[in-house]
Amino acid sequence: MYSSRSILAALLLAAAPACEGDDPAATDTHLDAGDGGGTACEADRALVPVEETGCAPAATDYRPRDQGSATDTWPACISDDDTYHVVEPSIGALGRVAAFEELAARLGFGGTKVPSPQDFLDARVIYTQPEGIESRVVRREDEHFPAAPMACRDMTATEQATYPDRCVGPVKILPILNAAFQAGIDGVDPVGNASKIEGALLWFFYVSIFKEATSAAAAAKDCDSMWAKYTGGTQRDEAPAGFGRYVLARSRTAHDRVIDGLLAVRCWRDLDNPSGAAANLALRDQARLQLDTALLRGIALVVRQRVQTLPCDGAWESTKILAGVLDREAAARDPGSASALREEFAKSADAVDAARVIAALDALFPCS
Amino acid sequence: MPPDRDTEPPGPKLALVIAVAGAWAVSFATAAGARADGGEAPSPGRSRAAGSPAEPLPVREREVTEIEVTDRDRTSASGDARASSRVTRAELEERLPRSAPDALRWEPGVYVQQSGHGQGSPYLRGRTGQQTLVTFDGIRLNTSTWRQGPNQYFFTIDAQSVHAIEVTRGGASTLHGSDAIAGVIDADPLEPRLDLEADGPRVRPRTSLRWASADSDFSHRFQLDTQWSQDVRALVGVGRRHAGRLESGGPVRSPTTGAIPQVPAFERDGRTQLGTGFSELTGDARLVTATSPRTRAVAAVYAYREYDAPRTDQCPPPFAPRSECLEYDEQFRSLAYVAHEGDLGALARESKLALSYQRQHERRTLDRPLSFVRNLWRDDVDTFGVTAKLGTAHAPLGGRWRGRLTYGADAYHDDVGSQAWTEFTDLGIVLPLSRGQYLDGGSYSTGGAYLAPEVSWNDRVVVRWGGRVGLAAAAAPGDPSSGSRPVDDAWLTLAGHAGAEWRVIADHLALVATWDRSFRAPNLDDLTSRQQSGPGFQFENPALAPERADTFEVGVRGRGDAFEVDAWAFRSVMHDSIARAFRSAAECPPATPQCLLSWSRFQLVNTRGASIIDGFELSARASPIAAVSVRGTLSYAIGSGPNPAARPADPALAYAERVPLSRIPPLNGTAETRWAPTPATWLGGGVRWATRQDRLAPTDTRDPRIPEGGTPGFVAIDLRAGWRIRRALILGVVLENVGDAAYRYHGSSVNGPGRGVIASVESGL
Repeated sequence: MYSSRSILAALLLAAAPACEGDDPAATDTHLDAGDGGGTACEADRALVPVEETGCAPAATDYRPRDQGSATDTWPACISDDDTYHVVEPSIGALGRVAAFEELAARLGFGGTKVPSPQDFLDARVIYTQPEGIESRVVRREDEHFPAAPMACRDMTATEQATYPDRCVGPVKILPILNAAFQAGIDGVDPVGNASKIEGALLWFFYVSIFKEATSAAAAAKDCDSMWAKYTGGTQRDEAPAGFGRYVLARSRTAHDRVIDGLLAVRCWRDLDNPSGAAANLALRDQARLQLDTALLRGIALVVRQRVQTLPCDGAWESTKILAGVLDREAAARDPGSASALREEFAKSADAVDAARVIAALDALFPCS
Repeated sequence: MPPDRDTEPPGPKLALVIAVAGAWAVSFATAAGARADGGEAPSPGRSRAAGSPAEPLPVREREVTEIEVTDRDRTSASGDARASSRVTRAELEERLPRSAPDALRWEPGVYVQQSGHGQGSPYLRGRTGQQTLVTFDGIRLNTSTWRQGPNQYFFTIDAQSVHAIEVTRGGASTLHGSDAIAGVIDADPLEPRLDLEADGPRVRPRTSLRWASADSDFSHRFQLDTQWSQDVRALVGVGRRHAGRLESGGPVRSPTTGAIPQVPAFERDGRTQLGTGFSELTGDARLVTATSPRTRAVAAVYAYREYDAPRTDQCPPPFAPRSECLEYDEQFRSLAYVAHEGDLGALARESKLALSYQRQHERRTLDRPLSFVRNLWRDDVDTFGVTAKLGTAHAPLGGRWRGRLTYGADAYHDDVGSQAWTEFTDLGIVLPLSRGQYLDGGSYSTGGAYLAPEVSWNDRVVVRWGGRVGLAAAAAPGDPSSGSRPVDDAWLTLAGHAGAEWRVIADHLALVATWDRSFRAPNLDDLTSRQQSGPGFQFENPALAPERADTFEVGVRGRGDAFEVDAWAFRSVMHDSIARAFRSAAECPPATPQCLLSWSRFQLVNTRGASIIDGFELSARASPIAAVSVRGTLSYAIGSGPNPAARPADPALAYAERVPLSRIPPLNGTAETRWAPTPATWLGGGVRWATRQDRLAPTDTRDPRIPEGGTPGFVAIDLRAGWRIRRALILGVVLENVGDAAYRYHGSSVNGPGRGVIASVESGL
C-alpha cells in the first residue's frame, strides 16, 4: 500500500515545484550500558532522621496543627483543617515532580547506582519532554532577587548574564544540567554528573516553590503548583515525592514546618480575594517568609547529612550546589558563617571539614 | 454560451425518475428527522424548510478569464436557495487579501481566525475546522487529520490561482457528505481562456507582483495561458512569495485587566510580532479539452509549498524564552485530478465525474536551542477520491409544475503516515518515538450517495428536499508502547434537507425557509491524535460517535436594479457534539509524559444534550448613484452547549450545566464603498469591525490566544485605489488599517497588520 502511495506521490511531485525533505536519520542509540566509571556510594543509605527539639515557630507563623490555627494570629481560612485544598483540579507541576522521580531512579540520585550513558540519554528524554522540567528551568527567575528591567525570557543571553541571580534558570541552573547530561551520555564521571543533575534540580524546585508562592498573588492556582512542587501532590501524613521526600527523610519536624508554610500561603490566598488578584501582599510576604525559612532549613539538612557521608561521589556535587543555594540567606544572617561555608565547599570532597560545615549550618539554619 | 437546454422536453422517463426519487427522499428525510427527535416522527411544523443547493455544474459557459467581471461573479453557485456569498476575482484584485482565508473577511457569516501568520481558518456561523467543508473545484480537501477548532489548511489554497471563492453557510451534508455542518467553502480555480475568434494557437503570458509593507511580503506569479485550438487549452502558473515578520498596530490588551497577553510575543518595538513570516512556492497546471460540443475533460495539478511558517502562539510558547519556536518547516498540499463534465443528456444535463488524489504533508519542529533539543514531527495524508455529481434538466411535471433532480455519489479514502523524533543537537543524536501525532498506518474512508429533487410551481414556489446515505470507516493500528488502542470502527450516516422558496415578487423578493440535517463522523484526529493544542494537551478517544446538526434557517432575499439585500436567521442544533472535556492527570494515557506535564488536559467526548448556535446575517449592496456602490454585512452568532466537564465533587466549586461554545465570533460587520470615476479606475475603502467577545468557553479561558476576559473589539479601515486597463494592466493599492488599530480576530494568535501599504501590479496579454 505504501509503495503505491509513494508512486502516486512521486508522479504528482514530478509536476510540482519542490519536494519533501528527508526524515532525520535515527541514531543508533544502543549506547554502552556498562560501567562508565566511578563508584556508587549510596550517600543516603544510613540516613537517620534528625531528632529536633526546642524548635520555636515565629510569632507570626501560621500553625494549622495547633488547634486548627486557633492559637495563632491568622484569621480562619481554608487551610485550618490542616489539609491542602487545591484551587483547580488540574496541576501540571505534578507531572514535573513525577519526572524528577523518574530521573532519580534512572540516574541513581544519591549515588545508588552508576548510571550508564543510555541511562543519561533516557533521562535527558524525560527531562526535555515538551512542557517538562526543562521548559521551566529555562524560564525560571529567582524571586529572592530584585526584578530585572524585563523578564529574563525576553533577554538575550548577554543581557541575562547581567542579572545572573535573578535569571537563575538560564544563567546558572541550565548550564549545569546541559553539561551534566552531555558528559553523562559521553560516559564521563557518571556518578558525579548524576549528582550535579540532582543538585541542580533540587535548586530549581526550591526556587520554583518560592516563585509560585510569589506569583500566586496574580494567579491563585499557582498555589497548587507551589504545593505540588514540594509534596508531589500529597497531604501532610502521606509520603511526599520530590523535594518533600528529601526533607522528610531527614526531619519530620522540618517537613511539617514546610507543610505549615505551604498551608500559610494557601490560607493567605483564601483570605485575599481568592477569585481575583490579591491585594494583601504584606500577608503574602509573611506566609512566604514562613515557607522560605522552612525550605532553607530543609536544604540545610540535606547538605548537613550529605557532608557527613563524604567523600562520596554520589553526594559531593549535589552538596556543593545546594550549599550554594544557601549562600544568599546565610550571608544575610551571618556573613562570618557564610564565609566559612564558602571556604569549605571550595575544597575537594576529601578535604572538607564536616564538623565546621555542620556547625555553621546549625547556627545559620536552626529548626523552627 | 450553450443554448438553454432546460427548455427541451425531457420525456416521461425523467419525470418518473424524479417522482421515485422524490418519494424516496421524503421518506428518508422523515426518518432523519425522527432520529433527531429521539424517535418521534417530525411534525410538519418542524420540517418546515428546504433548501437544496442546486449547484450548476461546470460547463463551457463558466470558462471565463481570471479578470473578466460578469454578472455571474455575483451569482451564488449555490443558487439563491441557501445563505451564500461569493468573492469574485475582481474583488480579490481590489481588496488584495494576503491569502485565501483573508479573502473571506468581507463575507457575511465568516470570521477568520489565525494561529499563525502563514495560517488561517475561516469560521462559518461560529464553527470551523472539522465542521466546515473546504473544496477546490468541487473536490473535497478535508482530510481525516483535520483538527478540532481552527486549522491552517484553507491557507494552502493559492489565492492567486483562484477565480472566485464561494461560501455556502449552513449545513450541506446532503450534497457534500461529512463535515459540512456549518457550511462549505469552495474555491473556483482560474480557467484557461477560450477565445472563439482565434483560429490558431495562442499564448498569453501574464505576470503579477505584489508587495505589502507591514510584513515586507513580496510575491510574484507568472502564468501562461495557452490555447492550441478551441478544443484544447491550458493554463500553467508558478508563484513565489516571502513574507517577513508582521508589524501590527501594537499589543491587544485584556479588556478587564489591561494586561498584555503572552501571545503573541513582540520585538522590542512593541509592534513587530515574533513567530511570523514564511515562504511559499506554488505551481498549477490546468488542461481543458473539449470531448464533445457539450462536454469537456479537465486534468489539473495544484501544488502548494509553504516553508518555515511558525505557529505564532508557540513561537515562542507562552512564558518560554524567545529562542523557542514551533515552526512548520514544510506545509505542503498537492492536488491532482481529472474530471469530465458537461451535458450528458436529459438525465445528466449537468454532470461532473472526477478522480482525485491529494497529498497533505507537514513537517514541524519545536526548537529549544538553549537545551539543545528539537522535537520533530512528520504527518502525511494521501487521499484518493472519486465523485459523481449530476443534475437532470428541468422537466414539466404537469400543469405549472416542473421538476429537477440532482444526484450523485462520492468516496474518499485516506492513508495516514505519522512519525516523530527527538533530536539532541549538541550530541547529534536522533531518537525515533514510538508514535507520531497520529497512529502511523491509519486509514479512513468516507462517502455516500444522495438524491436531491426540486419541484417548482409556476416559478413562484420552489420546494426542495433530499437525502444522503453515507458511510465512514476508520482503522488504525495500536501502539502498545504508548498505550494507544487500535481503532476499527464504521458509522452509517444519514443526512437530509427540506425547504421551500416563495418568490413573492418574481426576481425581486423571495422568502426562503430550510431545514438541514448534516453530520460529521469522527475522524482520525479525534480517534488517534495526541497533540498540544492552544488550551492544553489533547489526547484521543477511540470511542467517539458521529455528531449531527439540525440547521433551521429563514431568509429574505431582495433584488432590484440598484440593490441586493439578503437577511438570514438560523438556529443550529448539534446533537452528540464532539467537544473537549477536561481530564485529570490520572486519566492521561500511559507513557504520555506531555499529557501529565501540561497545564490542562483534554479529551474529545460526545456531549450529552444539544449544543445550539443562534444567529443572523445581513448583507446588502446598492448603487445609489451612478459609478458608486456600497456594500455592508452584519453577522452575529451566540452559542451554548452542555458543560463537557463533570460536576466537581466539591459543591462549593462553581459549575454551570451549560457553557458558551468555544471561540464563537462576536457581533461583527463590514462596510465598503467604491467609486469608479471612469470605467478603468476605482477609489474606495472598507471598514471591518467587531465588538468585544467575552462569552468564553471554559477552554477559552485557558487559551493564551484569548486575552484575559475576552478579545476586545476593533475597527480597522482600509482605503483602496486602482486602475484597470482591460487585460493588459491592473494596478491596485490598499492603504490598510489607516487608523493603525491594534486588533485581533477573536481566537487568533496574530494581531492584524498595522498601518501599511499593499501594492499590486498585474500585466499580460
